[in-house]
Amino acid sequence: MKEIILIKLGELVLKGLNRNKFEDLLLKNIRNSMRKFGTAKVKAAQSTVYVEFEEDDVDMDAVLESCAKIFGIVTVVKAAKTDTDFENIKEETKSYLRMELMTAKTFKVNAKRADKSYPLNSPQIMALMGEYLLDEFSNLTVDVHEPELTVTVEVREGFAYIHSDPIRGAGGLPCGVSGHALLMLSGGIDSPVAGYSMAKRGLRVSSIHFESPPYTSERARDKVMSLAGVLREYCGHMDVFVVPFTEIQEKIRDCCNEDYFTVIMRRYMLRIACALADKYSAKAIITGESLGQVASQTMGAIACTDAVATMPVFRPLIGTDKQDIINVSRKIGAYDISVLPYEDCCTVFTPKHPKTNPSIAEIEREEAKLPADLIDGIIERIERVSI
Amino acid sequence: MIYLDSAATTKVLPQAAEAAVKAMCECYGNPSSLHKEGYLATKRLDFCRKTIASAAGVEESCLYFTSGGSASNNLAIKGFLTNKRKGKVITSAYEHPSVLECFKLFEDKLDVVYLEPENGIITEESLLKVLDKDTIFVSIMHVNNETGAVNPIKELCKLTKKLSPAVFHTDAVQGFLKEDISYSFADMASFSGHKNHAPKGIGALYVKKGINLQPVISGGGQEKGLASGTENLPGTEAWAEAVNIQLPEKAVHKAHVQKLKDLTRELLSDTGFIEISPKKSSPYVFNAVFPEYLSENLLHYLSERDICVSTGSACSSKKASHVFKAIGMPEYSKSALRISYSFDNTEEEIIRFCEVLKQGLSDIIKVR
Repeated sequence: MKEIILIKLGELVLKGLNRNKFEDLLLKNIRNSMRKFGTAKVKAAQSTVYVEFEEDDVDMDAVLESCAKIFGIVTVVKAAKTDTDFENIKEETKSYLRMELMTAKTFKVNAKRADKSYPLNSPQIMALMGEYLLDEFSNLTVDVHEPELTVTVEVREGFAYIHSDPIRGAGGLPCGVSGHALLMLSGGIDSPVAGYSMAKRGLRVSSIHFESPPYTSERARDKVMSLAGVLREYCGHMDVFVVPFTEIQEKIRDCCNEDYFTVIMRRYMLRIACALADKYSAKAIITGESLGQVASQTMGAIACTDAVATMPVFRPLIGTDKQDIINVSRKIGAYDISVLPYEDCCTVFTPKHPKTNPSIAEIEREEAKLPADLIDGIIERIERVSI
Repeated sequence: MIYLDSAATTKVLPQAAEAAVKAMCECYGNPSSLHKEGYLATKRLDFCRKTIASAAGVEESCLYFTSGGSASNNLAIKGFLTNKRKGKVITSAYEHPSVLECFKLFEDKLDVVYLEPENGIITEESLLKVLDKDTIFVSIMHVNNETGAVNPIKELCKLTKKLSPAVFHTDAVQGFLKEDISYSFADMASFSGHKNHAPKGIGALYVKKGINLQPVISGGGQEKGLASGTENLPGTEAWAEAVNIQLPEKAVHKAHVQKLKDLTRELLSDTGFIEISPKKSSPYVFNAVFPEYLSENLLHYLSERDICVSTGSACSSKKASHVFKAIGMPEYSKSALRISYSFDNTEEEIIRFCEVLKQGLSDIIKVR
């Protein structure tokens, strides 16, 4: 018996003429994710994707879990692949789904026959299989409306596939269909969740991180790389651009009124992010801001930061409560890393009494005290790390 | 010396010992220290964690280093059950003492069920009979240390998940690096270094994300609070090195010891032994009863001739084996020899062992 993965596509099927492009991209993303498990054949037919490995010793549970993280997939299930001899299909169903059949009280059989030359039609397959399973498992009764277990038999050219109820996939759109954007990744709880949310809507995400040694440590950098690793599970691949930010932060501290420090710092971060995005053809910036969460995330402060942006800034968490953000963070496996206690650049030199509602005029007056060439050449000094 | 007791412990590989020495002399920082030496130690610790987690097929951030298999079992069971006031917990009657003794502590508070093996194996059917919605914890060992029985652990876990809200733990000490399985299906799994040619004093517990354990040892909060105490970097380095050497050869080693086990069975076929290891058993363990002899006599006879085997699990070699009670053969308990192999045993060693054992069977006076 060969065990394979069957994937049902999501919103994709609705996207009309773009469908082929979307499907190709999704297949590419699936192939990419499968590489770490072995040599996979990935092919699509009739809004189903078939994933089959050449090797026999692949951990298919891990594969299933990995598939459930790929955006653009609605449901996914492991299935047994056999020849189309009905006696074999029956035997295989009994042994492959033994656990499910042993423990369910009610079930039904679902049959799909793509191969119209097959001697049995779908209702016949359902009836014969149902009868057989009722004989074999005394704990079962049939319930066609709300069964605990649905046994599905799909007969296609040359092969039959047997599986139980599928699990839910990650939904969303395949990463890359919406373009490329740059995530400002700090090391906190919010930014990885923001990156995840936008990747789910089809963006290819790269990250930009600002570090300020010696105020921030190597451990803080490792933490960011681990978070990027978590995001890669969903995004397929991940580059982190690390900006050496110490001098710029020190200059802002030395030259400007302390109360404006955070907003001015964020404006410089955004300027650098936009310039880097331009260089790598990313068309938007993503941040983890949530309205009112801290002083730099009030409407006034966000207006001041936004004023320097040269492209759209996506803030998917703007209307989300902290607890809801934490819930997603836990779900995607980032939370335990995010709460590690290393200082990041956002908490270096934090003012005691930050201005919560600064005006652009005030900020510009403060920034005028800084050298005009403050961030010249910074793009060339950015380090690129591929996760 | 012919050493055929690898289920008790193994000889440390020279490369693993070297790795430990290097860690002791060159990378001696405390991973909790903030300076460079401490940071380097953290990096090395993370590297070891990654190596061992990947060999076990689990996520590295979910693997916690402990002082060994017993410590891991204690942490898993006590850590999970300490705060529980009611509910059913299920284990098997032939677990390692570090599992059974933990469960004993909870007998007055919780409903503890000890499953009896059928033909040496814990079956899905027997678990099915006792699982219910009140079950909060199930712990079944992967490979039995005395008989080598391999339990259908993945199926048992699946069944548990299907029929109860219980957390599933497995003592994987005798399965790690030997059976073809990744342990990520389980909620918790215990591992030990010294069964695979690493030193004593290092082990690990895999704990799936979202499962909360109470620490057994309080202290500086190492291993995310689950195993306080300065990390044993020499131990983890040696273990990781031993894993790196053995992992690529896993299939070759398994085939090799299977040959040794088959050879043992064949060479002893005219002695009238009864094989205790069930059909589905690990090639690393061969357990046989010589009905009319005391195994202790045989053990000493062999030991005097530089051959090391065991009368059962090393931890319980003085008592009548609870494992033999569990498999319904208490009368054989005193006549059983456990021969357990390693990849470094040779066919010549097996031939010599069988010769000496046969000589022993004719020299030693029968007891019945």
